[in-house]
Amino acid sequence: MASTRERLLYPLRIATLLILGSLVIYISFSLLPIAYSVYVAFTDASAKNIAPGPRLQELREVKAGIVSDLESRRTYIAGEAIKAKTLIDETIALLSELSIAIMRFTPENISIAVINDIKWGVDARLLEVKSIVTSESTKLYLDPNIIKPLDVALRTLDYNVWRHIDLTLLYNIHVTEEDLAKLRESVIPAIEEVKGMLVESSHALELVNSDYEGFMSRVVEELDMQIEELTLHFVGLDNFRTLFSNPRFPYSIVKTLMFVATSVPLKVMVGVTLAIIYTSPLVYGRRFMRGLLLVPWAVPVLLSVTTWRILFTPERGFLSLVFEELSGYRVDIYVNEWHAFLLYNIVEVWLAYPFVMTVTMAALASIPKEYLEAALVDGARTLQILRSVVLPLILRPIAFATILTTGASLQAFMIPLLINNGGPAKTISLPGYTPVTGYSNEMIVLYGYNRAWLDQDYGLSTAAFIVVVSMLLVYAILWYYLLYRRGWSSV
Amino acid sequence: MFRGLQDPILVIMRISTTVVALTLTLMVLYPVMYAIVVSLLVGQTLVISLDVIRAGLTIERYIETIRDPDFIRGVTVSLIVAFLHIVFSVLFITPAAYAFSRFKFRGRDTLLILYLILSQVGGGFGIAALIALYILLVKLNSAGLPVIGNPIILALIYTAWAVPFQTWLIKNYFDSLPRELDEAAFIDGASWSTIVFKVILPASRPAMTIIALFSFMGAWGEFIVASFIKVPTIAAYIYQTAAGQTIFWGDFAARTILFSIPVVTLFIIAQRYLGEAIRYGAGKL
Repeated sequence: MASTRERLLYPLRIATLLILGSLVIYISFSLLPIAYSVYVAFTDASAKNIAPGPRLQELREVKAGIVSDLESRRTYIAGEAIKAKTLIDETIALLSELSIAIMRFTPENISIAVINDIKWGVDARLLEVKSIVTSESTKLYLDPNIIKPLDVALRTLDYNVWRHIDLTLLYNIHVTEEDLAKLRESVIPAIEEVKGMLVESSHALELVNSDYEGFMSRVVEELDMQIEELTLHFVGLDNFRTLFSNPRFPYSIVKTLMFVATSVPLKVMVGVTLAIIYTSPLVYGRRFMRGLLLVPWAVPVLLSVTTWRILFTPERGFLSLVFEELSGYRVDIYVNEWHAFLLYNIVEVWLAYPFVMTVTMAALASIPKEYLEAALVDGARTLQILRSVVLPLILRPIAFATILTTGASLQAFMIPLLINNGGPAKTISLPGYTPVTGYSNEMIVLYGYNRAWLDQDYGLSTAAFIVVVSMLLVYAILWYYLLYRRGWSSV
Repeated sequence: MFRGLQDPILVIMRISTTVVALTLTLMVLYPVMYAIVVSLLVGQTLVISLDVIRAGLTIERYIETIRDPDFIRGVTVSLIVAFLHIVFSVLFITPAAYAFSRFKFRGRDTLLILYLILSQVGGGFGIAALIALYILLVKLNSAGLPVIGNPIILALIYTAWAVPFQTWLIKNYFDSLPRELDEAAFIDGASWSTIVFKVILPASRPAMTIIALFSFMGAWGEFIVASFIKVPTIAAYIYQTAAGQTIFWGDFAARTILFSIPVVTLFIIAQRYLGEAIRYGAGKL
């Protein structure tokens, strides 16, 4: 009877309609991406290849016609290569002149004009070389033997040669012998390096003329490599192998479990103690103070966690000075793994005690006042009353809070991220693994996040998250079973 | 309640426990008070000493902050995102919660339990989903759809992630309302528009307030997703200024305190729903 009424009043059709919107949004922005990440975990997805855009198409088109294209313009390209080679050789000669000029300078006979002449000559030639090499009509830039040394030479010239010369000679009114000595010390080796690179490039340009087939095969090889780099590959279980073949991720799991083991008892102890203190009728103004104690809950983590980090600034932060005073050790959360870990615990307790406290207070409020009064007045029976009356009443809610707050510790993310990004970096070793360098306090969620945000290795990141999500699911199902099937949820 | 209040021992006990409680409160509040004081000091300093305080207090940093164009842009973007999030949540989650509360259909309990479980591991699941979502969005973006840096997409993501928690929150609210009202309307054969506008919507108004409160707090404080998909919200801007090794601490404190004021205010208003929030494990809002 009732069910017929239900069906008539609240038809399934309408229910579907009402729920559909939220379900579609939830599935498309939460569940689908997680399903998609299962696919990504089996690929080598990275910042380069997830959305290569038009560049990949371009490269493929170039590749398709490259052999016949190079074949047909053989004489032209070889001629251009020789032209570029001649220019480079001239540049090398000019750079030798530059070295000699700088060696000969004394504070009295510095000639900016000589330097400028050489600089002008070098720059003009290299500009032309660059335009020949990078031109689409020659495709010389696709030969790594030409372009790589040339790029290094150009960069070194700008940053280590001209800049030093300008700083010492141009912007300096009175140049001393000492300045010159310093300049020689830094610039002469830099010029030699540039010359060495240019010689390599010049040699490679000559090879274009003498061994054109070799040049063509290098170009094809380079194109293949660039296309490869932009293509997403299916790599099977490689990402999972990487995860478990070096100690970083296993260490992260161990560290997370350690954090659960230390922070959960601390949070519960502090929360319960505060609840007992601030429900005690002995405290004046307890309602007001209780309100104030919720502040950590209300304040955004960006403010509170960063403030904790500032208070623990090595050598200057107030709390790191206090700790140093108390322990006699230097406190440095950016160097010592366990100092950072200790701070995570302190901050986690600070952030989570309001939750445990509120749950416990609600439970304490349900205890009949007469018992508490009796316990307080009659000292002899205090313990007995606490054990036989109070404890059973608040045990379940505390268990409930403990289970929930375990989930928070298991998913610790904001605290390590905002304090030192899971650092400090150090050599990570676990029995059975070859030690490697990594962040020592990367909790599991942060580990996956950092692989995506810092390393842009999305394949490895999603693989890590598959493991993390499975661990969390085990926790969640356990949680559901304990709280709802066993009926621990009495709050 | 204590008959022996005149008892001097009891008085001493009360005073001493009050002192202990007060000291504890002050210790716990220390970081927040410290941030407030530093934001008012002249000069960038980490250690508060008498010398520093003697140099005087100033609200200069606050004035600088509200003149900072990045701050103003961040606040504007955040207000837009929060507004959209509220609209989407009200539009999609309120009706769903109503259905969960009133209708009995196959899969209802399964869905509710699923939401309950997923809201427990929302943090970890959220970031796992974010990475894959980011890849999908980058793909769409390079195909010509402007999804990266789009406040609408950000608001949709926030709404999606709020579905489990808010559905439960509002469903419980509807559960506490008597069903007779809308049933009477149904039996009277009122038209659907009447039922929606005369029955459901008026009854939902407080529910919508709750949704708006929680949605605003969620959207205002979130910075990971916003940074990832490059929407310059105020939280993302503040995160950016906090991420480096060196922080201009005084400026940062002033900026972040201004940023915190709306959330703290709303938290005070939303306090009476905290019990509900706790049930679904919103250990941190």
